[in-house]
Amino acid sequence: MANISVFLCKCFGEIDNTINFDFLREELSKDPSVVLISIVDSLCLETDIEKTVSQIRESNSDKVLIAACSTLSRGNLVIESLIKEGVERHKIGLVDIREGCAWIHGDNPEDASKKAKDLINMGIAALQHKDMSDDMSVTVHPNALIIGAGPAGLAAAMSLARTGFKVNLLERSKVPGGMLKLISRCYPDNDDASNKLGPYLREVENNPLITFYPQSKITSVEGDTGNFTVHFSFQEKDSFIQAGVIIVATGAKIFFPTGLYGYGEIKNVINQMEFERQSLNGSLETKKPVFIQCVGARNRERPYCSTICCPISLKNASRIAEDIPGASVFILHRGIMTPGNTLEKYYRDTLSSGVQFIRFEEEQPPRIIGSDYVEAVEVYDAITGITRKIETDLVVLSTPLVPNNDNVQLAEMLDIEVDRYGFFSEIYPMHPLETKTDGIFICGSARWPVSSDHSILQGKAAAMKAVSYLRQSKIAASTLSRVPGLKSGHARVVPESCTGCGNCVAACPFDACHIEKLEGRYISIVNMMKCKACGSCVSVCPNGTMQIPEHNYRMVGEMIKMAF
Amino acid sequence: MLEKTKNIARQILEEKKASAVFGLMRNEWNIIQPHLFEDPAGLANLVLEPKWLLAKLAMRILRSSPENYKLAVICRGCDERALIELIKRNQIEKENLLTIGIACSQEQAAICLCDRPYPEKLDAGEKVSGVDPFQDERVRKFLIGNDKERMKRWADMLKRCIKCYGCRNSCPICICEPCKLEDDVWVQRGVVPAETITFHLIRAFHLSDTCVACGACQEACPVNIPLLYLQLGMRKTLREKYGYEAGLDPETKSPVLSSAFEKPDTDREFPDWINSLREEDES
Amino acid sequence: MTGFEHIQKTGRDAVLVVGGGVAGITASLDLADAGQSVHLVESSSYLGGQVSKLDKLYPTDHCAFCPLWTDVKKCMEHPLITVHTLSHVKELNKENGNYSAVILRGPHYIDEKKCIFCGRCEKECPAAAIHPDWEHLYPPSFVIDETLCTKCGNCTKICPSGAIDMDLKEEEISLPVSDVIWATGFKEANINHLKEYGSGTHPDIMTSMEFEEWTSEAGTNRGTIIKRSDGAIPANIAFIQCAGARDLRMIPSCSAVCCMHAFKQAEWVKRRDKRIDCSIFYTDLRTVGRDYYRYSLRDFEDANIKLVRGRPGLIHPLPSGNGIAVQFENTITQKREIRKFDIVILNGNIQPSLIQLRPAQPGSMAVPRTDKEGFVIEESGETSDFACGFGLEPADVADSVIQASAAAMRIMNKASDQR
Repeated sequence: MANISVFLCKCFGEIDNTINFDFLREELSKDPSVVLISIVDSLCLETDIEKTVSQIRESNSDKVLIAACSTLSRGNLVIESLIKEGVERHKIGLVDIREGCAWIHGDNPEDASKKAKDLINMGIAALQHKDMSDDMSVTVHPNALIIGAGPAGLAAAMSLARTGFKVNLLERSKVPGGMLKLISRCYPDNDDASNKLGPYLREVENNPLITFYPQSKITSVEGDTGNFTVHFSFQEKDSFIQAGVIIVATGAKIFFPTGLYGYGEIKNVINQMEFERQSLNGSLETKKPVFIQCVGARNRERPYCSTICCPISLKNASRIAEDIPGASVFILHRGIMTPGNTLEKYYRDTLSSGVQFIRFEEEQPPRIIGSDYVEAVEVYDAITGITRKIETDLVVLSTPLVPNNDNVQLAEMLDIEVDRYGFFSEIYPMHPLETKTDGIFICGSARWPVSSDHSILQGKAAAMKAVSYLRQSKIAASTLSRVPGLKSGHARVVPESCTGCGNCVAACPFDACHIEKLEGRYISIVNMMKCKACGSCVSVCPNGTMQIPEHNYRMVGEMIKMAF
Repeated sequence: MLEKTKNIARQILEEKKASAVFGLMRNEWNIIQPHLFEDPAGLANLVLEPKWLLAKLAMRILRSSPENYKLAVICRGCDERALIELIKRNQIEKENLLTIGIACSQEQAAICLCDRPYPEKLDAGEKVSGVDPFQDERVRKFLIGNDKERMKRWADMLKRCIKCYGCRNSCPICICEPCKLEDDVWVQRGVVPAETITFHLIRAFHLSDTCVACGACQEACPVNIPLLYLQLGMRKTLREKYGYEAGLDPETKSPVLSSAFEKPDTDREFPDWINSLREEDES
Repeated sequence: MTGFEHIQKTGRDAVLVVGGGVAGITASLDLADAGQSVHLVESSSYLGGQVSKLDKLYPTDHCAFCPLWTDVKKCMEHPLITVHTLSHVKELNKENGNYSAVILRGPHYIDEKKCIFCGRCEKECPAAAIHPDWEHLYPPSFVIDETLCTKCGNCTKICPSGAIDMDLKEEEISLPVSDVIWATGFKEANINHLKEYGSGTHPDIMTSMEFEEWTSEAGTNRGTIIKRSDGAIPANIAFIQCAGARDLRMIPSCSAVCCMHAFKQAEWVKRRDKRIDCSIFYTDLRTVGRDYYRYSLRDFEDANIKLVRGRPGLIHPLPSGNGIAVQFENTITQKREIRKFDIVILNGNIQPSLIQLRPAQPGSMAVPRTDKEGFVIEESGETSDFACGFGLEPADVADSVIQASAAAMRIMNKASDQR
């Protein structure tokens, strides 16, 4: 049994006007493990912390219990000041007898005092049995691996290289640029795609810190935050790179709507990519195009909006309307998705350029008229209630971006998640580029369909997040937490009593546990770099083998005994 | 059914598909005992009655045998499910186990209140439909009423417990060493009756998604606590809400163990079947 | 030498981040984690901005406050970030390539480092001028509303920790800065002059942020949904989208976040009280982000939320005072109707804060270059002014945070290039 000093804070009367401190002192004196009881007016404002710590040392205490306000208000200030004076964090306990006791039971001081006594006894029991987790550090490789050299990957590569880090840029195809290479003009600034890509391509060529690996394919990934080993095949050889962070910028692919609206059968029904290609090589010939939106999107199969197809149609439609005299351009849509100021203005400008918009409902899609060549499109205009027949010479289908076929495989290799549609998913919307494995980031259309401008922005943002890892020479597992100072250790297995049942492996959301056969027995092993101390494994472990030392079951059991 | 089982067992031994067949034997004093049949000649004494779960013993045999030792177990439905649950929990290697599945009779199913009195891999005997335990008067009696009434009913039953640990010892799924029920923090040693109902609730929850409703616990209990009924409710909820049943397939993991990133069930109401029971009985 | 080694060695001047909402906090943390010192200036008394006022976030239905709070705490405790609340940027001067700022710190009559959050000052104040500015402040502290304060001195006497000093004056802090990130976010616009919306004519015609607070679990009614007029449970609620937005009279842009915001609010109304009928009056339903379309479908199909395509022509309190008439044309069925609603929520009238912060006198507040609608115009090429979040363009939380990190990265690159 450790010796404990107990410090009770009156909080300027806020606590002691309800709770009887004499009663507390009396009760605490009965506990042989309590070697010092000190009652002060205010621990956070009017106590000399240096003096407090010498008192603690002189009384031969091993641990310190503070009974004051909640950690979420001022309690943590006291803890932090004790730590600054050299008291170790796992030897300090805090009990809230203000927000959770004095302030809510003002009408019943007698019971409030008893409750405070119980809370303090629980705090003492907890302190007695609190244990400290292990920790581990890895040396960080100060280089980044970026998968995918489209605009997102290029932006990330340039940002990191300019900051002074080595960048390894892996790309599946022969040249960098991604889908942006296939596009003639970008929205909303109508900039040439090659202008946008130019500075990044030059950087990749000229910056010695960027190593470009075209036609490479990842085969396996090992390691953890700060220390990933990525195996890949390059120029028919097997190579590997050790990197501190990985940025996934693999983009997405285009959906080809075979079978929809006669695509594949009727000659002049094309999709947006073909429109771009024809624009690029000058073979585009149309005077009365009809664009159809949401082809293969926002339906049962793909219940999502692909963000970029409406602005793309606006861009291409207005180009025809402005450049070709006498053109008749229609956009058939289920709602034009142009959120924001720039895109909404783009929509208004397209309206002014003479493009006509017809809204249709999902249940009544447009009908193609024509067998070899489309002659007209018939559509039920939902706003006017009139069925219209529009003469046309080219039908352009706007299709969504869909996830790459190998997203699931790559996600398994990297230990990150894909969402229900197949795009890589982030851990939380407020941290939209971070995944469940620290140090692996997602950006661009690999994450969710976005325009090239936003891809570039996301690439830069992902690079910024990567910098905070790369700049550290060593990363301790205990720092990998969303809330600094509040991460309570890691799960720990007692190898002798582990039955190897595998419940922890299944329950862990971060894939931190795995089963190994050691000396003929199956035992669970916890990877501290991945463990976030969420406690899922502890709750499913049948015999209490898995514990988080700072909240072990013995501690909880003793606390419960104190409470009842 | 007995002859067919003997033939299958004989074939397994002769073709060396397994090192031994584990089943029940009538020995020279006319007493039934579990037996490792290694010699086909010994199969003359093989019997299939009474219901005797061999899963836990099989696990221990395999554990103490060399790595290439293969065991063929003659098992009923509940036994096969228990074996599958042990496989799921890495206690038995799938490659070292064969099963010879035998069906139970309708009478046996009625005694055990079993709705699946046959193994998935059935080798001998005829499948019967079994009984729905929730149609049985005894079970219904335990499940009607509101939470307070049910709690009181169970607390009264569990007061009889003498902590013989028979339920834990006979249960094929209870394999943890050390067992939480012997941990001073939760259950004091040498105190009877068990504190409040901690002992039994700990056991019920640890088994919630693994229990195969074999009834061994109830059969073992010297003071007739209907421990099987305590588990039936959870099995039914798992089946209806999650489509999960323990012991049917070694690849299917319990929904309790699903990753935190799957969307949780936000419905906080009682499972529907309890409501339907309540309405019927209150009419 | 890498970029931040250079920063640390030369002690590069601080980056000034204007606005302490989710974008400003993210940019500050990103820069500080990379070794760049930051001064974060926030006009209210707390960090968190508009997101801290939200109850839940779409599309995950998580609580808005707690995860933001962890980042607020990190910000306040980071050694490289200096947080100035109740402050604004008075001046920004660029001379000889050196950028300098003057921050005007409004007096913190109640020192948040000393406030123990007891509330005795609030009880003693005769003018009801003291209260915490929001439920979840960090650090928790009371604030005095200068406009209501009668300078009676009761609070100063009663405060047990001596945290109140009414003699404090504004403080001017001059410092050299390297760059400025404008993260000024949005504010709700007054649309009383757009008569058809009936804004301000009935207590049950509310803006969406008012409704958010009114029905928030941490708000006035702790999650119960009742009418503001008589406290009864409403039978139905109308959400009017694009109120003031996509409107050449006022806000020509689409505010980007309101469609999903309405779906989220309707979803939570249904979760809290299945009996209340919800109708959303829309022009286009902008559901571009991950899971947004599915979220809207789920509401429509499972929760039986009615969608009506049409912008109401008139919203008017009924003569009896009980209920509000909404006159609209359902543009898909081409039918005109008048229906009575118990609560009407006006959604869409949000604008960049900068358009509302017209300095009272020239020289009293520094503002960046903005367009007609109030969005910051970023210079191309070499620049020291960056923007992110709603101040740059209408953006939801994910996009705001991405822009903030990207702005921070651009500053880092600028710093690296300068070596």
